[in-house]
Amino acid sequence: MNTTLNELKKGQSAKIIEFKNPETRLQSARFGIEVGQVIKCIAKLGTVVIQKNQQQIAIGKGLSKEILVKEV
Amino acid sequence: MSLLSCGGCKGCSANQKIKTDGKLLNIALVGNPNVGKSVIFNVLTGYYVEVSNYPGTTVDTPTADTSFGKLIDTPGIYGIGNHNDEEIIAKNIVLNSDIIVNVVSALSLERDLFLTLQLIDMGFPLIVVLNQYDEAISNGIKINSEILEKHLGVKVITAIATKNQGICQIKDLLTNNSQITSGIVSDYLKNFIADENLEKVKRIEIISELESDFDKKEVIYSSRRKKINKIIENILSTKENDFTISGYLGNLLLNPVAGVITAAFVLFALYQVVGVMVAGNIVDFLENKILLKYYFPFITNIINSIIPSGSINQILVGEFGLLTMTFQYILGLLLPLVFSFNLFMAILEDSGYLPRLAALTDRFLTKLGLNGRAIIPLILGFGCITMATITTRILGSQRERTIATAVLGLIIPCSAQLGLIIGLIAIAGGLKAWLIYLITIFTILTIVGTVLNKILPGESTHLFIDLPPMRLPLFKNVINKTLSKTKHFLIEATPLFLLGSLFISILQVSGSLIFIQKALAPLTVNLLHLPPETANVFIMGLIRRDFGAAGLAGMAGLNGGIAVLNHSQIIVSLVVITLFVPCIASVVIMFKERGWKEASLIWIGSWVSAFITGSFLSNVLRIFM
Repeated sequence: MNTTLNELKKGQSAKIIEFKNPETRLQSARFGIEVGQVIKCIAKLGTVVIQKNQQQIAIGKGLSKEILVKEV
Repeated sequence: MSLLSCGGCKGCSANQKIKTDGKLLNIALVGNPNVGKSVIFNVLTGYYVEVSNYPGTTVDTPTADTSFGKLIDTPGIYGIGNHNDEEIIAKNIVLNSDIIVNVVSALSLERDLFLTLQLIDMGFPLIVVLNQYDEAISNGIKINSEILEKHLGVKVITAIATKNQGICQIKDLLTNNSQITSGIVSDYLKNFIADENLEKVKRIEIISELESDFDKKEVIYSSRRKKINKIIENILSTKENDFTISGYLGNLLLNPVAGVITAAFVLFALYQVVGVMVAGNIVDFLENKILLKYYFPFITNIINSIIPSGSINQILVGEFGLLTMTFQYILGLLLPLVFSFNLFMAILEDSGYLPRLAALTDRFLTKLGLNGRAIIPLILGFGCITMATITTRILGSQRERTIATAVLGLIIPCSAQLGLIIGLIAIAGGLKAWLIYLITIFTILTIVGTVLNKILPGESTHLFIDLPPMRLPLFKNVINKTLSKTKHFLIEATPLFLLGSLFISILQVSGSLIFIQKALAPLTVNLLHLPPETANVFIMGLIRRDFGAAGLAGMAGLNGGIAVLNHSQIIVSLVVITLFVPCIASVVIMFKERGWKEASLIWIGSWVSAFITGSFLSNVLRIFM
């Protein structure tokens, strides 16, 4: 079932389904994160920290609500 | 600047192919943040530039002439565009370059290749330096650089810059630059550019234009990503390494409990180093044992023998003298404080701690209309508000810059002031006084942030940052960074201090200072229930808040004098002097950064908030203490 990034629990992995905010989508592409990839939530502080391979990205709550993911 | 010989490298005398009419070639070092660009610049040139582990803190672009060309370092960017200040600076340098040395990290190749492909698409002659290879290996990553070369069509050099590995190969290539090529044009661009052999300049123009069109940009970005994924699949193999110290530490700092404990420990260490050791011992030694004992009598005698008395004498060596007070402030007080604070910050910056602190504090700062990024200027503010106000440039919107500047101007005490505050609180009743002081200041911080967040139009940006791996800072880099920042600070602050001293000296000589003191007296006595002499402290505080705090120290009997303030009066006056107007230097910077309207509002606001809070606290304490 699809959910948003901020709903993930620490340690959960998920596949990115959609970036609702186009600016975030472009910035994510630069960071190397895009639709279809699997990321892992490694910290939840209101702010979500996700990891993909060796890369960690901190995403504010407001943005993380606009990123659709699917748990895997 | 000296030319650097190639040392043991071969091929230095070989003829060059890429030429610009006898002028030195422009070679730009370009790459993502934290990939080791500045370290490579340092080893290639023998000069030292700042190495930063937090995006946005480097705005300078160091340049050095070498035997192979003019090397220019650029700020770390994720792509060429107009996304932020750093990208604009980097773009301008890139557009004027003959050769690009693109530094990528073996640890984050997937991310870094985005910029690489963008540069190749723009048609620049390029070398890719695959740096931090040791870190990749310890993380179980292996990269086949030969296949990468074939995919990109440019030379790829594997390097560990911190251990000087691969540097010779880079020098050789740059010297004998006939092997430097401009790479394979990506297929996805063929839909947009008909003629494959367009001139370089033209191509850059077309691509910049394409990328300013949102829809086309999306197509290009996503095709570029797809190409990168394909490349990565072919060249990279990972073996899951369960444990690295860096990874463990990095994740630990993201744990709310461990993160808060670490933050408290870091603040305590900062307090011990800057507040106690430097503000207390070293500044005391410099001021009392050296300046007051030797320098002051020396300079006063000289001036007195030329101009025995009068206004000019007062302005030069009087109470606020240009040659006495200004000199004492800059060399005796600020230099040691700024140096030690920068040293501390350099270690924090290079370790990769600050971005994690940003993630940790993001939630709270969001409530104040800021995001985690704002922790950088706020923390810098505890060192120096002036420096911190400039750093608010890293924030994503004008709105956030306004809020952060207001918080800095109204609330955050600077390191010199903080040292004095800590000393005075010890007199005023230790822990209880600390709690009253901290709760008051924190409450005002929350109110100011929340109110500004409510009334300012627009929306603040959200945190979206890359967390670099935790690293052990390199001693050399830390020292060089500290020196360079301290130097910058002195160059910027000195003229402002001279101006400030001149201003207050003129007030004093003309007799206006006494008049202002009298005019302020009702405010202090009636509103704050403080003795009338406290007005002097606020006049001093107008120039610098720590100057005012120093005056308070005398009134509280910190230097062994007679105390004229009781405990609750000390706390009240400390709160007032903390919330009071920022020093002249930061006010000037505030006007420069935020414009006169906003800066004057902040300045007036600090009067209002200081006296209202002080009056409120004074009445509360009269009931309870």
